[in-house]
Amino acid sequence: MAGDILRLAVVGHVDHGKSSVIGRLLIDAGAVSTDRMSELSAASGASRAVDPAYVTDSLEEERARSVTIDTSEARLAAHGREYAIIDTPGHRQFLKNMVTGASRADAAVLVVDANLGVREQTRRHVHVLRMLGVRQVVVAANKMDLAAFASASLASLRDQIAPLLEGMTVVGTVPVSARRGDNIVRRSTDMPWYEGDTLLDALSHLAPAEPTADRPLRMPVQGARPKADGAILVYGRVESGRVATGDEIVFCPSGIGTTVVSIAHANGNGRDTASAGMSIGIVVGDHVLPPPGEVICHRTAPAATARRLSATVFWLDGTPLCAGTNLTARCASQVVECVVERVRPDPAEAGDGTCLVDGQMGAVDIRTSWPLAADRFERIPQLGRLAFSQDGRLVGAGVIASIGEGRGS
Amino acid sequence: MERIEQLESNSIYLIREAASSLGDIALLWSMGKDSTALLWLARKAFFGEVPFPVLHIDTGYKFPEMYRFRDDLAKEWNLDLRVARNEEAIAAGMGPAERIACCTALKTDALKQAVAEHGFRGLLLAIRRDEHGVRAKERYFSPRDRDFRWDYEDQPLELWDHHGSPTDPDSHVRVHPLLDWTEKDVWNYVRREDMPVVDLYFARGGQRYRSIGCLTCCDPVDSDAQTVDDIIAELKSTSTGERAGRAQDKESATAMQKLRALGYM
Repeated sequence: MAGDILRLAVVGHVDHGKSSVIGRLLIDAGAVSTDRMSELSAASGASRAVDPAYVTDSLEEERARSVTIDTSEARLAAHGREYAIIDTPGHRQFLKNMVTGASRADAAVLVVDANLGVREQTRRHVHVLRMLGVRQVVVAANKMDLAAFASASLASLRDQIAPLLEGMTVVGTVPVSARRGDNIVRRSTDMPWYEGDTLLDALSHLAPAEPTADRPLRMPVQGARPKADGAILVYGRVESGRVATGDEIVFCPSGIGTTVVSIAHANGNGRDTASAGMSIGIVVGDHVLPPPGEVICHRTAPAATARRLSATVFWLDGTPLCAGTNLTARCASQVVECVVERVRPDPAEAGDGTCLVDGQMGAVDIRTSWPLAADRFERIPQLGRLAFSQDGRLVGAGVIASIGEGRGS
Repeated sequence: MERIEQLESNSIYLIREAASSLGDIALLWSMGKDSTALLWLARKAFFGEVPFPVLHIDTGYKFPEMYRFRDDLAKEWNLDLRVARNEEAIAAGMGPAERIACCTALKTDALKQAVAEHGFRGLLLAIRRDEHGVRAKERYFSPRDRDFRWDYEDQPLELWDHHGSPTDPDSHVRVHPLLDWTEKDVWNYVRREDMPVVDLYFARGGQRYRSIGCLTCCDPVDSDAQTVDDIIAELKSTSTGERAGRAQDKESATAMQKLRALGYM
């Protein structure tokens, strides 16, 4: 069985051909079953020629309007590993669905119409990728058939896109036609001047997600229960680092310390260690019952604890985010109320300069009602992410840039 | 981490998250391989004991093997099993002659009755993205309003394991811990865990069931796969989809979308 799954978000401006690129990739690589192909052919209308976008555009409304409304995902096996290919909508109106899809990606394919170049959602999607921490990109210069397969079109697109992708790892810029299948899986005969990878081959250069086992221990607590012998078993998923029987641990932010008596692996193995990614239980000493949502850290390397945080926030609600806005902030398993103290919208974006409007990004300072255990995003991504909610709905996301004053402030 | 271990760990995370954030939840068990895997994962998540009810929506049209499998495991695993049937519709003679109406009455409506009766705020379901294009559009935590409607045109933002929680007390949340799994992943997991599955999946007389629902609406596929290893080998070479034998998907191109919009699993 193949090893890891590489999660790939396909992003870009509306109508530049994201769903078509995905459909063509899956069809030409043989990843669409025969009965699915006949269903797609029947749905594609009188011509019976399969519209590749229908592979992921499965909703009636999406097919009727030729626009992706919601994110979708399909699998593709290649290069001895498996890809989860995440389609995302390019229409401004469905940005929250794009963020939902892209938030689980390790890398991205940026689809750009070679005739139209970089557009508003091309830029916005790249900004979203940066905020989400997705740094590896393959550029698919699509609709080369409409650009007479000219090498000049690719060259000018490369020049236009380079500053936008500065600092990101671009593993290929591939001239393609999703409609015809040029350079997706099959090498194009109409672009002999292009000697680089096909889109499928370019994906092989993407690196899997960076392991977080070598970072400090962070295990957000999902729950706790007493065992038959009275000992307390706390359970959750190790988000970073490692933990072993006998370790001195501390619950953050409460600061309660104890030791690891034993580790209960969900899969029943008897190992006395666990590392990042594993859902486990820990039997803790001293009958300590932690408050809900606490994060387990090593006593020697606890998370920062503060009530003031600065974050880069991406806002996704019709009501703007302004100084004074009250929100619920979620960081790993912690849920706290907070008030926004200062908002500095990204100067490159539109807006009135004091608030973040729907789809806008900016630097935001918050003050929480209760101390929050957190890390800078660059240090431990899982503890450096914030989700904001109002009335039970998520309305924004942020990554922590700096953590303010100490406990009790 | 090995990939199957990663899938397992993330599913356990989601099951625990559902239990802690939603409170009154139930696990929907159809005795198929997927929901049995979900049940297996729920037992692991809580160290051998499922701390919430397990709900079987019984249409009365299930295979005899499935009822036996259900009752044996319920006993062995000490499950709080609740069986929900739309007795009124069954008594009125509802049957598979009208497929969409039958699925809606005997599955969706029976589920509505059970949710109302027990007051569940969350339901764990074993759907996977690779089963159907419409299921690929789902969230891990997917809200349903009081009429069970799925608002697929305006689904909530979900990121980094964070999700909203609807404030309407008559709504509920569908939680999908197996969304990332594929059919092959499930069979690899069955093999790794030596997990029990109902016999209908194994070939008898040159045929087996690849996807199991009601007796009346499932067709077997040609197969000689008599063991889990055989099934895994067969899946590597087949070019047919898993649900090709499921009648309700085929009524029209958008049948699944319509069923799901009304609250179908």
